[in-house]
Amino acid sequence: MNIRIEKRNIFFYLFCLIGGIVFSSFYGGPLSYGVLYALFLIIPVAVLYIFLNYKYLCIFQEIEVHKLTKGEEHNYRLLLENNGLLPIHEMKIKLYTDRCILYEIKDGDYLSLNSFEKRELKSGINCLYAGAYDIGLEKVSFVDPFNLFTVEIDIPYSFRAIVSPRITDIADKVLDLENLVNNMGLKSASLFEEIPGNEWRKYQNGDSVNAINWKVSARLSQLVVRTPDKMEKKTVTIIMEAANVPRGEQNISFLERRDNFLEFVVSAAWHFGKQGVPVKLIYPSGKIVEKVVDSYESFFEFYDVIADGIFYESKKNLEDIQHLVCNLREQEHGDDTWIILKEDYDNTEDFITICG
Amino acid sequence: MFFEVFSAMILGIEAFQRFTNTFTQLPKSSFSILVIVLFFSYYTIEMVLKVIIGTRLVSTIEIVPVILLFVLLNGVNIDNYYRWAVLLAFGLRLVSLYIPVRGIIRDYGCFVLDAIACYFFFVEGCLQGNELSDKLLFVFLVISTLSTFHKAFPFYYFLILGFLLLCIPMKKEPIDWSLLEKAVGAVAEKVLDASYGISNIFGNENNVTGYSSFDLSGNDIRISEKPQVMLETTEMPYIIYNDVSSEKKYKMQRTVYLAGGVGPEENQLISFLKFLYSNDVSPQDARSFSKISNVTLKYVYINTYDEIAPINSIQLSYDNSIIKKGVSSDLHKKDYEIKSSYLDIDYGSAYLSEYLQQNLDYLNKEIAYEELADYAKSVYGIALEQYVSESQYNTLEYGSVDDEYYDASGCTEEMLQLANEITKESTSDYEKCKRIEAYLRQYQYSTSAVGGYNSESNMATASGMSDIAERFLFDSKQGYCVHYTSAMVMLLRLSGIPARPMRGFRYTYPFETAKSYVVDASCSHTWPEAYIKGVGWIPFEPTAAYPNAESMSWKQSYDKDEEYNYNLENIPSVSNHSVESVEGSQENGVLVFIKIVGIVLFVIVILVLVIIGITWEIKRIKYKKGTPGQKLAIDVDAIKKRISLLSEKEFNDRGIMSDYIVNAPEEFQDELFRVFSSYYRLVYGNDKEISIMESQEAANLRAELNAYRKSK
Repeated sequence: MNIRIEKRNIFFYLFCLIGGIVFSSFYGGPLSYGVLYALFLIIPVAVLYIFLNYKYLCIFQEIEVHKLTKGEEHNYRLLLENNGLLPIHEMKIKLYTDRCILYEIKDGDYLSLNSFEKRELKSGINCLYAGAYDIGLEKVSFVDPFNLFTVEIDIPYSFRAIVSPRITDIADKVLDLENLVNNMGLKSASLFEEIPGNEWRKYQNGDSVNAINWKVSARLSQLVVRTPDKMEKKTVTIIMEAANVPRGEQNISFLERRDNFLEFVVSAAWHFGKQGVPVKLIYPSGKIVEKVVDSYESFFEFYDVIADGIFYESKKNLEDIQHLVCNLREQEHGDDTWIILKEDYDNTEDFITICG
Repeated sequence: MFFEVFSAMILGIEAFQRFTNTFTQLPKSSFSILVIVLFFSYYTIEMVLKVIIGTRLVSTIEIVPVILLFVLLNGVNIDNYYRWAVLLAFGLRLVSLYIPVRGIIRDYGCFVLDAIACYFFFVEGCLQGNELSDKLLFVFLVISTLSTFHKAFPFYYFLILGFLLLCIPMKKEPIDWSLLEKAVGAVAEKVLDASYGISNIFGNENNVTGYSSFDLSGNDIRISEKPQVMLETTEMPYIIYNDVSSEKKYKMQRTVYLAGGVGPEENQLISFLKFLYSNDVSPQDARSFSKISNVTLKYVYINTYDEIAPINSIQLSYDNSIIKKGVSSDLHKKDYEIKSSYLDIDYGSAYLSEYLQQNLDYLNKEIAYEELADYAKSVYGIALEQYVSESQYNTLEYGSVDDEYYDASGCTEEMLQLANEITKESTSDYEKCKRIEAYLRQYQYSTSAVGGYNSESNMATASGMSDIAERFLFDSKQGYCVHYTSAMVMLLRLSGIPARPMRGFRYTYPFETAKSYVVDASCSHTWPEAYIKGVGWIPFEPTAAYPNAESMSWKQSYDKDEEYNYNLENIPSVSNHSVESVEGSQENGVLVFIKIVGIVLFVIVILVLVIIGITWEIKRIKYKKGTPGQKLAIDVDAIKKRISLLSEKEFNDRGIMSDYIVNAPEEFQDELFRVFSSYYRLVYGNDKEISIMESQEAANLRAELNAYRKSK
């Protein structure tokens, strides 16, 4: 709640009040006391009136889809209802203009509602950042009849949207993933490469001619083939070291960072997913979660949850992931490639660190 | 609109009663309330009819239930006024519906009604709140006036306001602030008590005026205004006298001397009564220069064993017990209360002076107790036995005093010569006293004075007083009451007249009668008393700063127009000394002026330094606790100031950062550009995050510029 005082009006009010007190100090009766008490009661009654207005104000917000996509327009509906007897006079509405654009509803519009009146406002909405955050109506403000003060109050029920990130080539540009794949010889973790093994068996129809072990076949006078071994290919792992910012402190700066963070991750995963190249993603979703994306299906499973799926259940989860990142930076990685993404990096740190 | 209509209705009734003197029996309140109730009843009926038959004929059809109600009420045994209320309510309903220029009336009507109501209130003296209808009227007017200022705001708000106003009782008397005054007074008293307690612990009151004992040495003294005693009396604080020359009546403030450590002096009463009786002073004449007065003294910020009371007190009591001595065994503190009956004598009276001038030797004349009691009754209306019993009267000694009052030890030959010179032409002891008084009053009064030659000298001993007097009379020639009193006491003793110094307060009442009078420390005083045979102890006022008895005379002698003329001729002059004193005082005045100016300048400098210090400290804390962004902003401000100072050309601040870069020393320009870029980003950019590095860079640049400026 934020209360703004109109100094000039307050000074005038105080002047009148002092005048009323002086007048009542010399004259009794209903004339002097009527004026004096009225001056005394102006503010308390206005506070009471505003309190009742707010208490009986019901606000409903709605968007046509369950999940929005950043940069796309969706239909938004705002329903304001005065459920009380006292009319609401020129209530000012304040929107989350820093994170969403409402095309038909303007920030700072005034709205009056009679007793038990309902008003529906419709608009297109465009969310500017990926992630889960409050959108639409942020606050309402009321002013007293004599413009002495303005009370700005958060609406009782905020509307939280889940906005999926856009899939772009941002990851390609940053990581130069093509080169990374070629140079490191990354291969699928779920599609196994068959190499000739040490076990053998009789040749069966359909076996590759290349698999025939000619020496053994000659010695045994029958065709034998090597049974192939399945060798695991090299892996790529992305660790998402997300910031742990409480909901109440998620300001626009946080939203911008989260948006970049998600967009990068999703773009990277998409890049691998569409090529059938597997990538393991480690991220906090209450606890520490591992998800392998190596196909369209697995990618969309990941994409579906990622917008509102990054959060910490406890501080221990944050410490775990930080500990993991710390270890990775120090140890030998062999053939594995680890990509560490840090959401709240500062100037001394990098957003992305590749270990491998 | 409703409230304007109701207000007009109540005002109309008031005006009708006021100016036509008809309907005076009309019960205004109940009548007005009935009209209002009926008005809303019609309104409700109207709403119902609107739903049933539409809007056009409503007001016409509405007359039917009104007439029906009016006729029905005719058959009921009620006051005739209430039947008319039925019609009046309907009339008002019609007016509210069909009155032309409704908009204008709604907007400005309340102001006209306000003016009329104020006229009735102030000029006609009615609508004072005797009736409920008065309150209704003003509540309606207040809310309709307030609603006029914000017409668009829902009227519900003003209705709530009006309802609350009706619920609050409104008395006819103005606001009584006495409770608040008492509360504030109580707080102030507590604060004073606390400061008094603290000053008693830590304070050094030696050089400040206030009730004190005779260890006063006569050195420099500072005037204090700390309350010491409160006087409560029912008597007038002034005396009215006829000025013979102008034939007009004037007021003369009364003065009272409050002596400490003396206690009741019944023998003073007896001596004075005998003196009057022996001189055959008629009761009427006696009352013109003396009377019995009563006063209650309350100790305020004073700690002493002494009983403080007016001189010539004949009875003192505390908490209904009689006080016998002048010094108590208990320490008296704040709120100690003494009731005193005292003989108030106008020593400046021409009548009295005439008698005092004679050679008084009435002690040989025996006066019977009953005889004197009758005389006391006839003069003052008192029963003498109430103060002095017959046995006391017979045992009391008159005419002799202790030898200590003759003690002139320490006095020099020069003082003796002076005493003789002053009194050589005197014909009576009293005249000697007056001549010495007149002589001393020529001396310069000053609180910047010196005591005796011996720093240990004080008024507690005769030798101490001699030392103080010696220096005062022949050397310093300026002083305050301590010096004057010491001098007079010693000169009197040297002249063979018993004398004593008195300590306490000299208080002059104000012209305004009050419940109590505060005697503060600035009234602290010492004065001499001389013992005149046949009369008793008589106070004198040698201190030049205060008027003497003649100047404060009650002037009640009906056939004595002028002051009594003592033989004050050939009194040695101290004019030569006075010139020196004046010169000295002028010098002192310049010194005092310089001292005051110095102190004022010193205080101003200290204040300025304190303000600068506080501002600097606040800035430092603000900077220390600030975010990198805030630090950057502060640093940039400081950097701009440094560059302005360093700039060799005349620098015209257009509010553009690049100007500063151009004017900055070349070696700082790159760094300055980076700092200003960060600042621009902070103020105008989307990314307002300032890193510690950026902030630090600005701080470093500021320090470098400071160093550069110093090196320059």
